[in-house]
Amino acid sequence: MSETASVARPGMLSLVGSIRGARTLGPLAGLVILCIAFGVAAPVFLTPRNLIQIVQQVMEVGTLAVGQTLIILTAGIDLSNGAIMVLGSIVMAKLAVASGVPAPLAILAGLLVTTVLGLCNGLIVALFRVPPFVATLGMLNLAYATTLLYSGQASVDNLPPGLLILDSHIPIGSFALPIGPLVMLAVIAVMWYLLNQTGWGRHIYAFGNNVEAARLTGINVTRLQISAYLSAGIIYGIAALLVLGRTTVGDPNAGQTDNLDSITAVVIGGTSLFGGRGGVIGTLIGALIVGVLRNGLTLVGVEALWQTFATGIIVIVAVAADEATRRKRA
Amino acid sequence: MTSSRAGLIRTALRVGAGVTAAGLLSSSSWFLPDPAGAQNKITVALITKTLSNPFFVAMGAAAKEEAAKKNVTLIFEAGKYDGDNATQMSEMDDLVTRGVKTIALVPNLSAGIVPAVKRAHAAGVKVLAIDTALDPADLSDSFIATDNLKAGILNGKWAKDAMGSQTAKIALLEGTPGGEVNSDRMNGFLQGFGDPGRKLVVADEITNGDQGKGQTAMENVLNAHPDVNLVWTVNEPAALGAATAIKARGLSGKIKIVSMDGGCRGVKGVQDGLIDSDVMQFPKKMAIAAVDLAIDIAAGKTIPKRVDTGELLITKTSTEGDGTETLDFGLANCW
Amino acid sequence: MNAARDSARVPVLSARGLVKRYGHVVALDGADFEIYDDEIVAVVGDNGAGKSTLIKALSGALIPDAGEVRAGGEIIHLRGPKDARRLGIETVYQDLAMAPALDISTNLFLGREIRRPGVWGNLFRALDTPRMRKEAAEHLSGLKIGIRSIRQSVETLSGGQRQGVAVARAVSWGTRCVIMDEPTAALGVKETGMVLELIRHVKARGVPVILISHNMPNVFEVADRISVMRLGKRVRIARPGEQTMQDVVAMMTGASRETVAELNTEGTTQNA
Repeated sequence: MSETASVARPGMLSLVGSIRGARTLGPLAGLVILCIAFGVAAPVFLTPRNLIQIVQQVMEVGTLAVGQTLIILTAGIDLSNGAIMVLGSIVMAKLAVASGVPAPLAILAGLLVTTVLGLCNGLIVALFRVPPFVATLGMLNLAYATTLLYSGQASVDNLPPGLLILDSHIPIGSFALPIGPLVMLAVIAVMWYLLNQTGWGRHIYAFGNNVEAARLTGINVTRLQISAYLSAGIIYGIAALLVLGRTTVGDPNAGQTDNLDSITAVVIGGTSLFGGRGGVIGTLIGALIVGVLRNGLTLVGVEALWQTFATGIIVIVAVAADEATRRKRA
Repeated sequence: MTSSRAGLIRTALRVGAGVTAAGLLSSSSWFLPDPAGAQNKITVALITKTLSNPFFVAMGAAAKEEAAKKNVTLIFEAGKYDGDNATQMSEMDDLVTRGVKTIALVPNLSAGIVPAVKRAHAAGVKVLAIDTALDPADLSDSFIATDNLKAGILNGKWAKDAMGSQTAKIALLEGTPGGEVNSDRMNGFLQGFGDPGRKLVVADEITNGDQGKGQTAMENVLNAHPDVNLVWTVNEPAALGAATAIKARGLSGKIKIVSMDGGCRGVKGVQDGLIDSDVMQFPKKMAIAAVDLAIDIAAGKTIPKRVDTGELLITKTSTEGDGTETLDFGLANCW
Repeated sequence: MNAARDSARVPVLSARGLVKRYGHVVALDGADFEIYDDEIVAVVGDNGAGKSTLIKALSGALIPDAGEVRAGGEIIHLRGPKDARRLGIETVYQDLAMAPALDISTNLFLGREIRRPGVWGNLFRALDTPRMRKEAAEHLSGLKIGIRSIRQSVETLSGGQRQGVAVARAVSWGTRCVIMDEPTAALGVKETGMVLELIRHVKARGVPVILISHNMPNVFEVADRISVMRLGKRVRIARPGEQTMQDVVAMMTGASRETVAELNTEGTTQNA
């Protein structure tokens, strides 16, 4: 890989470099093995329709997990992402249905709400020095209670088509490609770019790896930490729109396990909970592993209980592998 | 780079081991009914709200039994928590992909599951709604459930008779507001009780069908209205919670509690004098009906749009009659 | 380096009468310091003598209660580390202040990354990674620091190499002087030698070095002058050729009885 080649097409080569990076090769191999195994056990697994369905099934948690990745890279954690997303979706739905607000404005309002809540998380963590676990736990309850109050614990039906734009499809020949997964991939692509090609991204990694070093080199670490939670908030708003498109109703009880599910995807993907190591490509792989596992086991006929069991085992394996390689480095 | 290779190999080995284990286990027919699609056997799937609620546990067990009897393959799935629509959607899509021709579903979100139901219909799969209707209700190919309104009316009529000449002061312990089950049972009760109905209600609390919340709600009611003499509860856990609060106040026997569900804990509550009247519903019948309808569907027969699995009121001293049964019947047929 | 020449030149960095109190504890009690553009000055002293406090005042990490700091003869007011860095004063901290999981060039350019020219850099804020790698490699080879690959993460380097990268970072940005806080404290014999050689390279490039060290042999090996601190003041300036290690230790602990008058006759400047 010559220097000139790098200058000419740094994007592509860096992407390959990201995958070649230590932490994502393991999960990628795991994903490939799972796909082969299920493809053999249940041939219908490898049909395009099923594979696309898998991506649709993981796009809610997958999108949330991008924000989670960012926060975990700063050695933080976000337990409130599912609750913030649902509140955003209820705001969008209720404004459009109950208050007659035009869909684009309702969407913006929902995005604003999730972004502001993300910002609050950031302020509480960075300015008041509350540990992220505690701060986001409080936010989780706050957001959930607000959702129940605002929605009256009832779901919101009859959404206008404007709120369902992420349910559309792009016709490709005789095939209809759903745009939801494309939106998730776009979010991942943008975050990958920010983390790998900009100074901000490097500062995030430095912050998570050694916050004192970041501070001593003159980086405004307070502003940086807040920006991570704020960016995550925007992503949660996009996830809210994805959810509306998928279920066509505003559901106040949605997403209750999404916080832990998003952490699962991040961890399986190889990002370290200690911060400073990992990335969004790994998270994509992690989310796909969970989705593939569930889908494959259903196709093969395994009961729901065992599917959850299998996911739990994979998480432990992933973390153990992270631990083992960490000790090797030290 | 070496550490990455070590990690890769390690993870690959472990994932491979996990999948192999899953594969080996799956080849044992103990918990796996039928790998890679049914050939000659009819396959029906049952998706309940959760795995933990005894109502659905009973449903699943009865379905498996009936399936074994009729030589049908049953796949049993569920959501992760009460209200989990996303998991049910994914399960449904995957079962359609798998080639299951009939899916019986207790929807966590009646309107939210509709896109998946439509996709199932587009693939030629029949969807049976169990216990809770879809929204719109007629979207399901059949709706197998208790008639909650009828059940409420039974409770109301009994309560009116039981109160006799006494003026009723009614407390309502609701479940989750907005839910159809909650509304039907409650409105049926008020309708069955007759005039003046709502005007006799002095307290209205929410319990989400939870025993702890039922107890708290009842305590609050007794604080505000110590002269309450009739309590309608949405289900047995709420009723048992209310009974505990009443006992703690020393008011046992002075306040009548009407409830519904027909679970064995609740029927025992009737036997022990904690609950005065209980309308039973029959989840096992629902499960059996689902399996049988699946067989009819496979045979190309038309199926009824609505199957009422029955509601029967029992008290400590009730007899067999129109809409009623004995306590012994209750003990024998509870879930 | 003799007295006459010293009094004609302006120090690159100097301080007079610095005072710093923490409650009742007096950390600096009228401390003086100066360094010229072609020397390595070691700051030595027992624990609590005021070494770290002095250094923090020079690097902008704390603001003294009294006294003045001058850069090139001009009075400066350092309100924070950024001010010091802006003046070309760079510090290599004892724990190196690096992100071990990140690679060498990332650490070298941390907080001062180079963006690509044109739209990519200005609008999309894309980094010019190849250029940063190239310049990092040049900085390292300029200081004769040997590494396997510029893409290595810092945690895969040996202690001496890590120290080298930290020094390279300071030198690449530090144009006025570089401060090093106990650079050899955690190193073995061979690596200590590497770092001392490195310090000489820095001096050779025209950047003076202020060195805090407990290690008297190291000090005597590289320092041109030794600023001996005791009880918050500079009590003596020693030179490796003129005093012995035991002499300096005696000065540190107060065993010697040299007076201020003797300091004057030895030619140290009083007021600039």
